[in-house]
Parts: sequence; structure tokens; C-alpha cells
Amino acid sequence: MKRVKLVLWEIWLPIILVALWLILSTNSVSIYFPPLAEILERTWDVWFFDGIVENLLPSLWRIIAGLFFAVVVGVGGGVILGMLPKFEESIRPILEFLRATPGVALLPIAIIFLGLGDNMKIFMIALASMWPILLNAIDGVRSVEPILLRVAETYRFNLKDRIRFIYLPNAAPQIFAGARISIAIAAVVMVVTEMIGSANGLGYYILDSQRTFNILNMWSGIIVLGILGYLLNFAFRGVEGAALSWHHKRNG
Amino acid sequence: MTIDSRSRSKDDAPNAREKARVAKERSAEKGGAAWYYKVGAIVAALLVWHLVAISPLVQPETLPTPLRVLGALSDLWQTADYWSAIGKTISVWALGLAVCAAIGIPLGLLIGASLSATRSTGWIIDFFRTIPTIALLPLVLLLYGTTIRMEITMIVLSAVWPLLIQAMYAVKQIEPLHKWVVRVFRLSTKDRIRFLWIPSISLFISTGLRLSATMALLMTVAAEYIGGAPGLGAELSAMEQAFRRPEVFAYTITAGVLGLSINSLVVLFQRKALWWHPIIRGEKKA
Repeated sequence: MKRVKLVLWEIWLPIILVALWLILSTNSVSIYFPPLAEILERTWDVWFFDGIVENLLPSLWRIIAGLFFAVVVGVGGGVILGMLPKFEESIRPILEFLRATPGVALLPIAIIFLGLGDNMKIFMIALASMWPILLNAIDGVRSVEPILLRVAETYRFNLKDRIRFIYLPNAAPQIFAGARISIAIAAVVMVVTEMIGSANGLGYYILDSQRTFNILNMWSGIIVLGILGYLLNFAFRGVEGAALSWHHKRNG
Repeated sequence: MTIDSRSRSKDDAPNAREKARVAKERSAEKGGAAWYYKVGAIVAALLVWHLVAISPLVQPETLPTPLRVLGALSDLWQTADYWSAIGKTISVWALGLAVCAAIGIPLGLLIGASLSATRSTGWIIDFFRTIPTIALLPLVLLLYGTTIRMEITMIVLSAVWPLLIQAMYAVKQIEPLHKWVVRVFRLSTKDRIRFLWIPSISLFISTGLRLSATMALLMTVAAEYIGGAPGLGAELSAMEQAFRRPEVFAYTITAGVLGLSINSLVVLFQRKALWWHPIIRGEKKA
């Protein structure tokens, strides 16, 4: 009963807002804000299932590949840099500079070297979304209890075991916190890279629909993208919950 | 002095050894690696860039050498276009961030103060925070064209969320004990704001401000680059289409320096304005 009440609290406002949108837009004649019923109808026609294969899957592949590289480089680099504090502090200004550069400003350079294909898009997604993971991994490795390290020394842990049993578990909660930010960044970069020089993908679809003044298609693309973004976050929470269950148990 | 810091410093006064350790750690943090290591790393990175640029690894003319980029940069410094582009980007960014703060902070505080409001809006905020609002760029372009209004709308749509969420959390983490103390002593509203509210929420808000500032800059440049509104992004796009590679690099570096200065400015502000805060002083782990 308590659960049902909580869910009711959470959904009453969204339902009312969507209903309002639906009702207020029924007789809308504005070309920019067509009736929601028509948008949903168009979404159904376009996206199930031709649109999913044509535009959603390429986008999904790019963002997942990009995030994969971001995690690999971010965690790997973060652990290495975290264990080499002198080196890390020396290159810190360079890292800070690269991180502070707005991802979009690096686009022209990526295009020069990698062209307009999937390689460039995946590279850009990985590059822009790597920073929160990398910096959090460095911090997480740094914050290991010195006592734990002394224990590891006493028991003559080798490097592999030290990373596996001390550094990674200690950094994991922070890495996941960073990864959540990374997903939001990755989605933005995915859309931006698809908006310039692309033949498929959600970003391409939305911009192309706008340029051909096909407003209904544009809205349907926005709705599908919204759903994709939300589902990505949802999936991430599942992974986080499973991977950090030990941590949540320990900390209540 | 606030209630907050006084109670804390008495509660967990660290013993002398602990104090020494903290002091040592903090000085290590402040000093960090010697400056010449940092300069050395930068020089090394530039050298690698130069060597790669003149090596047969890359096709000639695709990667300009650091010297040529520097030349392009100093040429650009003498043009009015360069400075007006920077000025436009900064002013649009600042205006957008101000609008975000004006909307996000009060709204977040209000929502955070009420449990039912938090519950009712939780799903909506979560939804808008996760979806890439850049997708609305085409729609906003149709509505407003390549104007400042378009840029501000895009900035607010994407950068208001961190501020709003941080403001919500800020209200929730105010110590109930402090609230009771304030009530028992019947502090006036003015004193309540001055001694309870502002000290309690300022750290969370300033963190939200930092996240929003970064996001706002990204959106400003994106709106200029894709949308074509005048500014750094538009210059970048123009140089790219004219195949003026050194200038492309010069503008990218400019954008990086801009991002770096904005970030350090916010951190500096945090240090100066919140020097009394236990977390900033390093007494308590964040």
C-alpha cells in the first residue's frame, strides 16, 4: 500500500502534464507545435520498426562503443595515474586544459583526422565522456586507506592483486558516480556529431526533418531520443546497483 | 562565525598527530609537483605534437605545427573578429548562466523544501536531466532563428538542471538540529537567512553553479557551431570550411582557455567566498 502511494505521488504530475499537452494541442494550428496525438501516431508509423533499424540502432551502437572506450581508458588511465602521483601532478595542467575544452570545439580537429564516419563519432563520444570517469578514478585510487596498503605490503600482494582487491573496489563508487555524468555527456556528443555530416542516426534524423520542414517527424525523433536517454540511464542504474551491491550493503 | 563551524570544530577536535598529518597533506596538495615538472610536461607535449606534425606519419598540411598555430593565433589577436567572437560567446554564456541561476535556484529551493513537491516532480526532473536537450536545437532554431534568444533558450534547457538538483539537495541537507536551535531562539527572518540558510546551502549551490557553467559553455559553443549564431563556434565552423587548419587549432585552443578560465574562476570564487566552510577548509571529507 505504501509503495502504491509513493508511485502515485510520483506519476500524478507527469500524467497531468502529458494529458494537458494532449488536450491543449488537439486543435493546434501552429506548424511548430502539432497536436500530440498526431506526433504519437507518426512516431508509431515511422519508428516501429523501420526507423529503429535505420536510425536508432546506429546511434545506440555509437554511444555504447564510445562509452565502452571511455570506461576502458578512464578506469585504466585513472588507476595508472592514481598510482603515479608525481607524474599525474605534472601532467595535470594538460589534463585540465583538455577537459575544460568544450567537446564541440574539438569536433573540427577530429573531423580533419578521422573524417565524418563512425570512427570520428565514437572517438568524440569517448573523448568527451572520459573525463568524469578518469578524474574520479584518480581520486578514488588516491583515497585508499594507507593501512590497507600496508596490509597489502605485509602480505606481499603483487600489483595485479593490489589493483584488483584494493584500488578498484575503493574507487568503484566514485567511478560509477562519474560514469553517470559521462552518460549524459555522451548522449549530447552523440547527437551533435550526428547533426553534422551523417547519413543516419537520431541527431541526423531530427535535424534533417527540421531542414525539410517535416515537423511531425522532427517531434517523433525528439520523443524517441528522450526515451533512449531515459532508458540508458535506467539500464545504468541497474548495472550500478548490481556492481555496487556490496558497497550499499556495507554502508546501509 | 556560524553555528555550523563552531559546533563542528568542538565536536571532533583532532589530536595533535592527526592535525600534523592533515596539515602535511594539505601542504602537499597545495604545493603539488614542482612547477618545473608541470612546465616540463607541457613542453614535452608540445614537442611530441611538433614531431608528429613534421613526421611522415601524418599527411602534410593536415596537422599544423605548434609554431604555425601560435603564428595563426597571434595573427588572430590583431583582428577585431576574434575579439568580438570571444566577447559574444562570453556575454551569451554569462547571460544564459544568470537566467539558469534565476530560475534554477529558487525553484530548486522551493521544490526541495516540500516533500510532496519533491516526490511529484522527481520523475519529470529525472527525465529532463537524462535526455539530451540538444535535440531541441532544431525546434528552437525554427522558433527564434540564429539569435541570442535561441542560444539562451538552449543554455537554460540544458544547464538549469544541475543547479536545480543541487538546490533541492541543499535544502534537504540542512541540519534539523540547527533549524530547531533557530526556532528556540526565535531568530528573525533576516537572521535566519543570514545565519542558517545561506551558510547551509551555499556549498551545494556553488557546486551546482560549477556544473552548470561548464554545461552552459558547451551549449553556447554548440549552438554557435551547429546553429550558426555569431561567436567562437561560428568562427570555428567558418575556418573549418575554409580549410584554414592553423586557425581551426587556434580557435579550439581559445575555447579551451576560455573553459579553463571559467572553471578556475568558479573554483576561486568558491575558495574565497566559502573559506569558512568545513569541507573547503579540508577539515571534513566531502
